[in-house]
Amino acid sequence: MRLTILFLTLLGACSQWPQSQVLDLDEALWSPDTITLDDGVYAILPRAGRLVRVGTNNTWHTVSLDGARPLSIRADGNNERLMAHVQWPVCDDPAPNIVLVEDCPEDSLYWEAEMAIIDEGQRIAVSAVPAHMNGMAFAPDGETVLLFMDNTSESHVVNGPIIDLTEVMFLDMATGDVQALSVGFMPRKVLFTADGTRAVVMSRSHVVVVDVPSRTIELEYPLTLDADIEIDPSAAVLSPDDRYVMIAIEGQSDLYKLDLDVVSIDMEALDGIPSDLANDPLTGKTVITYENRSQVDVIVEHDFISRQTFSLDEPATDIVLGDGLAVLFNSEEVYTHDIIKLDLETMDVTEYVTENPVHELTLSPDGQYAIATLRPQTDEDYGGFDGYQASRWGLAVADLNTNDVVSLVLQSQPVGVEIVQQGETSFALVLMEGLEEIIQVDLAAPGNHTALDLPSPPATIQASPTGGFTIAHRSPLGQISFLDPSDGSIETSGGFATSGFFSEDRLPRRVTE
Amino acid sequence: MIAPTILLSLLAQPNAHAQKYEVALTTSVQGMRDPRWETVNAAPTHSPSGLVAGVEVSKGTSIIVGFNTGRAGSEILVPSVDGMDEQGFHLATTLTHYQLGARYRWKWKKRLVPTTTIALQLGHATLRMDENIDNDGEEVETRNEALAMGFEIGGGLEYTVAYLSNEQVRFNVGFEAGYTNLMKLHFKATEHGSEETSVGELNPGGPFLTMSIGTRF
Repeated sequence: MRLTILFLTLLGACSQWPQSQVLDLDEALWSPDTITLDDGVYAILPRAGRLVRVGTNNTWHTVSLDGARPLSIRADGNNERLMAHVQWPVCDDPAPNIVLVEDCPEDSLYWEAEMAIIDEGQRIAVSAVPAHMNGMAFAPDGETVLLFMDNTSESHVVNGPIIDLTEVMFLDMATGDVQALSVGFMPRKVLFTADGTRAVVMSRSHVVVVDVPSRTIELEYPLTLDADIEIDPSAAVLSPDDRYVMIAIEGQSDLYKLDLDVVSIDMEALDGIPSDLANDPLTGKTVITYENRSQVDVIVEHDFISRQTFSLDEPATDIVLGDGLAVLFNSEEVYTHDIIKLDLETMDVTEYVTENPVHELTLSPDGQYAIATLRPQTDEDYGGFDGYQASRWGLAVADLNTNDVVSLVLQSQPVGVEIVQQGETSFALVLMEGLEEIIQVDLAAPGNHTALDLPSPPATIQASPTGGFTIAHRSPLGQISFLDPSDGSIETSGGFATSGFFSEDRLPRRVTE
Repeated sequence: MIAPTILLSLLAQPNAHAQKYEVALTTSVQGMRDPRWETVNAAPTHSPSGLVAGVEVSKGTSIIVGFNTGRAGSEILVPSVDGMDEQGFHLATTLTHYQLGARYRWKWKKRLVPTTTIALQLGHATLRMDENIDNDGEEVETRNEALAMGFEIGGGLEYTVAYLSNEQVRFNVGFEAGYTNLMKLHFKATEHGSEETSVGELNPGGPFLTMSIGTRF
């Protein structure tokens, strides 16, 4: 017995991977929800509380945030800089022996938040933006941002003793200066005019027009005069001349039309509750879809609302705009299979029937193809080809120049679809859960596809501003691949999530007594 | 450094009833005061083994050189960000102490000799992480190294089990307890870009207890 124990001890000491324990960590080392900019891929390391920039050739470095921890990241309006909501611990107790966060008495510890603007891996500006200001609308030049609280977002974080739910904030991207403005309860939608001089901010029962250069409220529109009635905007668009704002209201079949020149509100009674609005700048027409109505309306004249109505076989809830066309689909219902092409110049409607309901849809850059991921219609395979297809994820490619649509069956749920256009040829790059390949589908002949090997299963794919694609993998230590679609080459960087693995959780920016 | 010392010791002529050279195999248990070590090992200890050789330079005082090395590791499970599943990887360290110091032997009993040791140390650590073999695809592997200076101070007792060659050669067992401290082992990864990327630090100091089997001649 003793010899056995001695032998096992010696074996353990000699093993390349001694395993004294199985340890469960509370937080992931990194988040595959990365942001790809032209200078690299940015990723949050939740456990270490760091932000890393990952490049090709297995290079990476941590971005200095002056001791703050990143909460969420996103690209700015021009896809040039990174905007990071960060927070850092503050210990009210100034005792010099308090060095680590865990040393601070619980009732003396709180967190402060700010927004860091990062360019080329360096923090270039910091703004006093609270963490709950997670919704962003960018002015057309990308230099002015209007921040508001988006409580529907996954990145929604609330901290701090007081939150003003009527507030929006203007952020100057160049300087980091912020200015708060009270606009109405729970602002939730923001539209900028094409010249960026006016912002329309929609709140509960209230709409304001803000003069962007002076950051002051220029016009106010109460959507109701009865304080007991709550009117929540669900969708909104500006007319092509920026004169009118059209607002759909949650649960109501009325369309509000706000005149920004001659201050007035008109209401247009629609045939149902609108689900989505979209305005095509090329034709100057506004498309309206409905939640439960097999109909699409097109506003062809905004001064006095003139609508053209088209009947559909099935309700379409979502709109994707191309140049002079709208593609409609239903993302809500399980038994809808139609993709509708609405040519906004000729006002022709073309119906494409897919085998399964549409999950997400995107258009190729030249507008020739609509590429849709299809979700399973049933949980169980009830047999036959129909049952096989209905119970599986799929990919549909509709040729918008013809009536052709092809529905393919996918091995597993797609984790991302990106489109590549090379000259006259377009490809869809499809990543699937658990599949160590990236599938390249020729959109002209969707049955023809090729596969490129990936080092490990993918989690997300993103288009890079430089023309390539970055793929974040399901890898605990961090793994990102860089795909060059011109030659199909893949470079992988891995291991960056170990940054800060053994770092001490020190109190930053500390002034001791 | 160790091999020439052993060679010299084997070639040297022993003094009558005096042992000039010493060689011992050691195994230790060292406490780790850094709480981050608990990520590496289930217990807050490190268990290295090694070799010490020495030569007497004056009555009772020997210069010693030696090393000890040991491995520790864990399997780490981390949740994915969406919390839907769990992923794992192996983590292991190899921690080696090289020492150069002096040992003084106090006169007490013929077979029982108290010792006091003080030594400078050079610590070298390798930190490796490798994604769990259960993961599909090409696993990510990382390797980081760190060096740090330190010291060790200890006291112990040697017991002579047997004599040979007219008591010119002693076979000893011994133990020594004390404290060892290295400056922080800073795991850098500068090869991963123009700017330094740090995995973090470990402070591998703590009390130790060493058992040894050796000879003096």
